[in-house]
Amino acid sequence: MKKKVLCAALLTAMICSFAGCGGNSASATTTTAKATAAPAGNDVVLDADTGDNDTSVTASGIAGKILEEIPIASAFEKKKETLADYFDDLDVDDIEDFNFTICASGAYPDEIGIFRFESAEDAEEAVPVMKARLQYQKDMYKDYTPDEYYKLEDAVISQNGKWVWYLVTANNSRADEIVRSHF
Amino acid sequence: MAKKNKVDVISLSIVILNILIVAVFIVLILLIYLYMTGKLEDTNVSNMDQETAVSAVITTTPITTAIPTEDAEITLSVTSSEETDAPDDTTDAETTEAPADTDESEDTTEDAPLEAIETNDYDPTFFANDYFIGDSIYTGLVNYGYFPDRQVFAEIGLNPESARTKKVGGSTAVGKAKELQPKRIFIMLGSNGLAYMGNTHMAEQLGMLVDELKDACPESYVYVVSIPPVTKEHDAAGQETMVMVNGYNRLLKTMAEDKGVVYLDLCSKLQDSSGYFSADYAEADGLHFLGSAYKTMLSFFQKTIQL
Repeated sequence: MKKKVLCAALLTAMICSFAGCGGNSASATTTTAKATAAPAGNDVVLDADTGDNDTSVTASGIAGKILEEIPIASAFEKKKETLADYFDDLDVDDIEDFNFTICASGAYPDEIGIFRFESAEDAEEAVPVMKARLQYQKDMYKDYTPDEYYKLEDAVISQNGKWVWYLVTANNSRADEIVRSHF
Repeated sequence: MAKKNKVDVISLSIVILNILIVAVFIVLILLIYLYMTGKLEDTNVSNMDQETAVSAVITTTPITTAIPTEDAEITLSVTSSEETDAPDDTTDAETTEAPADTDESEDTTEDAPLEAIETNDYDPTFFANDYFIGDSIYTGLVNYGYFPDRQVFAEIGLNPESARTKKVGGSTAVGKAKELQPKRIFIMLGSNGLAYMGNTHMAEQLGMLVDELKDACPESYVYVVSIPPVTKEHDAAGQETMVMVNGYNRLLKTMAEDKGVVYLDLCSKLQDSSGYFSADYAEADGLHFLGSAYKTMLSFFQKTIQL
């Protein structure tokens, strides 16, 4: 009798565990569907479906995907301590996760910045800081390398919940698509 | 009895099945954990320049990603610093170009980490109190994490004339030097003016900058660094050519001698056998540095100064 009870208990546990797997799968599908629905464009966007709680999305993961498709010459990842050299008045203590990759040789204006802040309010406050950086780069490169200026002209600065991304690449619209596909 | 045995077999099978499922879950959880912590992440980027930068900057640690980071740079600093006493400035056969007050020269050769230098390495502590003035090429010193922002005065488009007056980060080159009072000042300027300023005017302006720096920092050693070469392709485009580069560098050498400061011929260190900017060091635009060039430059500076 005891063995029958044990057997039934184990079977129940097995069925429950399979059900658990199925539940996770459904939830992942829902997240992807939300991401596809995210709006496109270069304006700063506030969107409730941010994927803020999806811990599988990392700034370095997003930046890596962009770089796979749109490489940056002499790409170099910056550390948090040095972000203030590039973004005046950026409160680095508000940053939870980030990746800031630049063309370190100074030859090209390419920069990819993906930031997740502690709150959507912190992210919103960072947007003007990113815009100031973009303006500085425009001022620097306008006469210096006119052939590269197109990267700055349609640069992307967007916010989505806790996330802010700053993209100066050879294909900004595609880079923006890649970022949005993660939310 | 047979029924009991049948129940036993079913129970055992279910137990084994459950153990297997648990094992699979554990493996899956482990894999997810490794992925989340980035240990399974494959971030290879097929970009030749990036790979070159990695091999240039990260020489002492295994390469795990195609994008170099400042963490890697810190590792380099730690592993390559074999001594803490920065050797003093001295001069050698090229000593006629040296500052007159090199009275600390006797123990420099002994203190120098020559073994490291011979392997094209450099000691970051050697430059700990130094100051670099330059254009977009020297912005790479900060971008690559070789030096903090406070040790570098550099901006895109800077030339010998604008470097005398323009403020970067709220200070002029001389103002920042005055505040820092560095041990050595390295100036590399002129690539930006080659196409339109005139070599003589640029050399004069740089000479004036040297005078201003000497006044502001009487204890500092000032080094005038030659501008780097250009690649054959860049030369062919005509905006900046090797004829211009060599002509300007000759003027710089003469100016440095006149001012009693050291001229450092970095240009020849970066040239290939045909006299153009070596592909080992040149960025795709044929003018700027790959990460490897900075290391070669610093190694060359240290080696030359210590001799």
